[in-house]
Amino acid sequence: MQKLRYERPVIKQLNSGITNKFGAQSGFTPITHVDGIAVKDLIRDYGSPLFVFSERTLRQTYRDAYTAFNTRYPNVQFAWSYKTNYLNAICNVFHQEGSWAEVVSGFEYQKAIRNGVPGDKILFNGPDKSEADLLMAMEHQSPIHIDHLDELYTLIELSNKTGKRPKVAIRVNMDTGVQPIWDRFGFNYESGQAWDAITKIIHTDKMDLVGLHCHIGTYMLAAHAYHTAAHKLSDLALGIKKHFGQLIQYIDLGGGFASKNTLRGAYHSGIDTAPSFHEYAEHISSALLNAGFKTEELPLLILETGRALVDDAGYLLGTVIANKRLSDGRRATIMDFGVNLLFTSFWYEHTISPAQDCSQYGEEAVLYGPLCMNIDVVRENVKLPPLNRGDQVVVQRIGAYNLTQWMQFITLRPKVVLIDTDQNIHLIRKDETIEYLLDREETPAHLKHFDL
Amino acid sequence: MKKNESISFWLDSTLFSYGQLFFSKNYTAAVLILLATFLRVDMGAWGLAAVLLTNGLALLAGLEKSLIREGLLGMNSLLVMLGLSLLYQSNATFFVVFLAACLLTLLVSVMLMNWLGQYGLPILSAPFLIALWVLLLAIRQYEALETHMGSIYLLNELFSWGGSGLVVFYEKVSNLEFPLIIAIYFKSLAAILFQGNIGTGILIAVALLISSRISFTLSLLGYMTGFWFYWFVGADFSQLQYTNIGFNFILSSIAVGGFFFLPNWKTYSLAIVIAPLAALFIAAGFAVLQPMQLPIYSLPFISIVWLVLYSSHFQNPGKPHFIKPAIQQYVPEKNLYAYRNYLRRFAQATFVKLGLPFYGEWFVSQGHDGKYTHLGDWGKAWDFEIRDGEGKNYRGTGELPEHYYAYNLPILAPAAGTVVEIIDQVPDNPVGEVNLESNWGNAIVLQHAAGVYTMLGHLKPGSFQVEKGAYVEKSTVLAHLGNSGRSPVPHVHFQVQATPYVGSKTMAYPIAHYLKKKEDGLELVSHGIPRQGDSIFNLYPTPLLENAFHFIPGQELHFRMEGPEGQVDFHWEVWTDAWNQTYLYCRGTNSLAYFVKDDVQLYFTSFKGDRKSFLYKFYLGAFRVLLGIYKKLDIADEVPLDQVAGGGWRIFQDFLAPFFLFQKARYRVLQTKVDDPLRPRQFELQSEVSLYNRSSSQVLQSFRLRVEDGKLKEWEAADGKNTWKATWKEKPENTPAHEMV
Repeated sequence: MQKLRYERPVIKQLNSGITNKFGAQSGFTPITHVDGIAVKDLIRDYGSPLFVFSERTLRQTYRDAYTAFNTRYPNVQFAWSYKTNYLNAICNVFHQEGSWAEVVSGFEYQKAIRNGVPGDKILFNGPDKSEADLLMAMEHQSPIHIDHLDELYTLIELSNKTGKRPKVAIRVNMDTGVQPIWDRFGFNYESGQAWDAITKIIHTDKMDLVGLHCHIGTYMLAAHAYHTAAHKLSDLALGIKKHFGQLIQYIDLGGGFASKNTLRGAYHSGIDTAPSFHEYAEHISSALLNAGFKTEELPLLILETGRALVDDAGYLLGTVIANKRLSDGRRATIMDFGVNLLFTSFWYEHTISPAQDCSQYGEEAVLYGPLCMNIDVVRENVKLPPLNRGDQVVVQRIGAYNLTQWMQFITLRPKVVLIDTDQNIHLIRKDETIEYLLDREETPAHLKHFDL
Repeated sequence: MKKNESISFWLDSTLFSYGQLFFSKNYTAAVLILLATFLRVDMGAWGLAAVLLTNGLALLAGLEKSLIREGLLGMNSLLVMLGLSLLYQSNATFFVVFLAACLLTLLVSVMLMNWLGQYGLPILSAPFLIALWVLLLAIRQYEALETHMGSIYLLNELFSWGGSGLVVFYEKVSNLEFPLIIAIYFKSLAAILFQGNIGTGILIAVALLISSRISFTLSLLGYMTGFWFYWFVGADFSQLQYTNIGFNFILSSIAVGGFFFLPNWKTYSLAIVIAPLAALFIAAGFAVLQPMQLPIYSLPFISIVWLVLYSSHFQNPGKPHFIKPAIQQYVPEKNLYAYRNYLRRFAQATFVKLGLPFYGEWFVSQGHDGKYTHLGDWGKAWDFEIRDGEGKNYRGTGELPEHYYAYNLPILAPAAGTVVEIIDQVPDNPVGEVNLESNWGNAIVLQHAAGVYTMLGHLKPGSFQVEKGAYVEKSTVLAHLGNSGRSPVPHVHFQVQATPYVGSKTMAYPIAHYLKKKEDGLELVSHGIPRQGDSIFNLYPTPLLENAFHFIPGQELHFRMEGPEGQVDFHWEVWTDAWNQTYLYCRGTNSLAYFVKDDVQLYFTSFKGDRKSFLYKFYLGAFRVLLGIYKKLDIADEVPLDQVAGGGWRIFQDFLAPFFLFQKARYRVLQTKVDDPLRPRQFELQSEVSLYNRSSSQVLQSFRLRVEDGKLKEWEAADGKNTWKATWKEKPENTPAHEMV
């Protein structure tokens, strides 16, 4: 018989408040396996901390999203948002499923090209596109989403210089009834800026206006905002047809669909509040279908959803370094991962679960990362069963943004693995080594030597 | 142009008058038969004169040119004059009789044509029979007519016509020692031209073989059956009186075995079993006509064909044993190949082109005559739902209708039509429960055409977006899917019916086009019935291809061709005929390629004319073109066998065609290039037509087509030896548009 695990006793304040329908969660569900592979085996073989992706979840989520739209609208295309997660293996899962690419920098653009995405299936977004980037995109016939007039003028110049006609769309910002209004990017709809830009593009006759793009926000909990956005973009598209006789090929509603993570300060958990793909799809498709397009002229609907497609598929496995008691009596647990790896902990209250069996008794704790830096707090306040040094935890839904925003700060970045649909484990990014870092450094000759 | 047309009219109407004797429009065969009539020069001459005079009279009388061209009028006069000139010598009186005979035959023909036409019966040689009987009865008293001494002078005539060589040749052929059974066969054939010599019979047999292998086979079959029957009843078939009417067995066999019906084992059997009937008619005919000293000629043949054809009108229309060719091509094998091809390609084609009533990929959870609820008169219906990769139709626990993928999805109009009925007050059921009182739950009925309605059921209460009486376009969102009525889990019920009520009996009606998921990709199904277990979705056309293949009547397509003939500029015209069939017409080669275009495909249906023409190459190359862009969708089709060269094996295939086909002309097309996924300007396809014999195959033509900016910019056809490359040319300014009819 296995020896029972020791768990130190916990003294807990009795809260006798008014009962509410949500109740007090008691007990913890340990996550011992990811896609059928034991967490302890993964950490044994690949070290801790460790990022793990589930190919099965990636594909299932994508298909769910695609079906939600495809069964409501005849002409749907997803474009994988590279900035959300541009590990090649992850990108290629989406490309295999049929996704195009959506990039926001020359670097991401090249990554997509190297992944083998045909140039005309890469959408080029973002406020910072250099002349070289634009030329590259023109060369590959990629749709360029114009963010500001200066970019438009640059494109006109480049078109004059090269004699090529770039394919463009404009990014439109608008009031969708949701605050804050993202008016930083693109041209405003209500003020008429967007229409001016469209008129300029068509009158200069140097480029083909193929689409209209918007991205109304991020982590949008209000699905109806997309209805408004789709409606306003359709209005522009129909206006273009009416005034200039030109058909707009696609309407790109960007991304921003919420994942099931809970935002910091949110009262309800993300699982309960985040709309499903079907809710977003219903709002968007009904707006487009009822906008007044002829059936054969319905534009292609492009979606650049990132977060909602990849968040659920990513896990971060970590290990407890130490426990300590703070001066105010709160308990603190130090993990081997911190904000360096989990950038999203700045805005999410991540779900953190023990990776081994535990009792149902929990204790409030502060969860710190390993950095020697005061900001390194993963959770300000989390209820966890008492954890001992060496115990393992699993952070769920970390697939989006962490692997693009992570920092090589104080520590080196760990391995990333992918569990495929047949439960084979593939290393998709090696851990960083000191050589990897030093390789990029140059020390001037006079600084090479010192004598201590 | 005018001159050419009138030459071709006279050529056709004359030659077809000979060919029609054996239901053929083959020139070579007709010329052989014409030559055969001239083995008795005076008879041949009178016959030809009768053909020309009758057709001329008909033209003067203002009969329709296409009717005269058919040759049926000429054929009857031809027979009358052959019959008369056999009996009487040529002189002035006979000339007057000739004039009267032609006029009489023409009038009888026209009358019979219109009278029998009401009963769907052909005139066959009935006008000849009536006219000749009338004449024979009448002119017996004309003393100025002299009876012909007949074949006594044949050798003289042959000599004067073809010299001693012909006489020697004739003697040789006549003296050939054929077995009796074969000799009588040839004599029976010759009897159709009122001749009794083997040479004529051989000429006719060759003509038959050239024009149709099936007709030739049937002529032997009919003859053998008759011969055997007489042997069986103990009569001697070789007697002159039988030889003269033996052809009745032959003609009846060709007519019912292969010409009026599509040849198969059933018609071959029919050709055998009618032989005794022919014998009965022969005997009865003798009994009645002998006293009047009238020969029975083709009376048995005509009676039998009429009997059989008229009875065949009353077959079960759903499953006829004897199928009439839709378009009579005057060659049984052609009729057969065209029909087999039609069966494969268009048998299920319908007037209303139904699409699937949803967006995206759906799963057929119950098909026609399903084992759960699609029973009896209500069997021809479909249930559709959505399933995920694991075969589940819900997410979460599946306890609520909302958990089901299909729930609340938009349901679309399968085709344009009028909303004739809406039921919208049935609440959704909890999962697992059914509402048997309101079987179809919330439902909508659309009328698409007279007698073609569709019904969609189990919809969500309060979700209707159209009203009763509204006209809706195809793919309009009608309502959202619910779980009302006899629906334990959310699914849409879709049926086609002939009456406008919710819950009407269903009828089998195919979906015009859809894509079906296969293990290794997609399959395009045209005019198909989705089956239980299929995963299917709609397909959509692309404007680029829609425009390029949108041939408008009156339009001209100009090309410049580079080929082994050098550089040639040519053009095709787009026409619509009286039956609303559209075709491309090449004036230079007088060739036509018939095509059909619907909302997602263009297909050619048949080609007439010069197979060396560029139009023929295009016809084979663009035999079937999908107007939507679906890469990797490999589309296969079959070209009617008679529309491609068949090589040496074809002769065997022709003989065997009524029983089985071992040759196939397969068409394959693949989309190879699209320049831009968003706004395609260029598109390329490659196709191939291959002839398959049992084990070997041979590429007849490979073809490549490039579409650019809505035009057929360039196409290339190669036959293995030569390559032709055509490029689009704008219509030259100074050429007038072709006249519209």
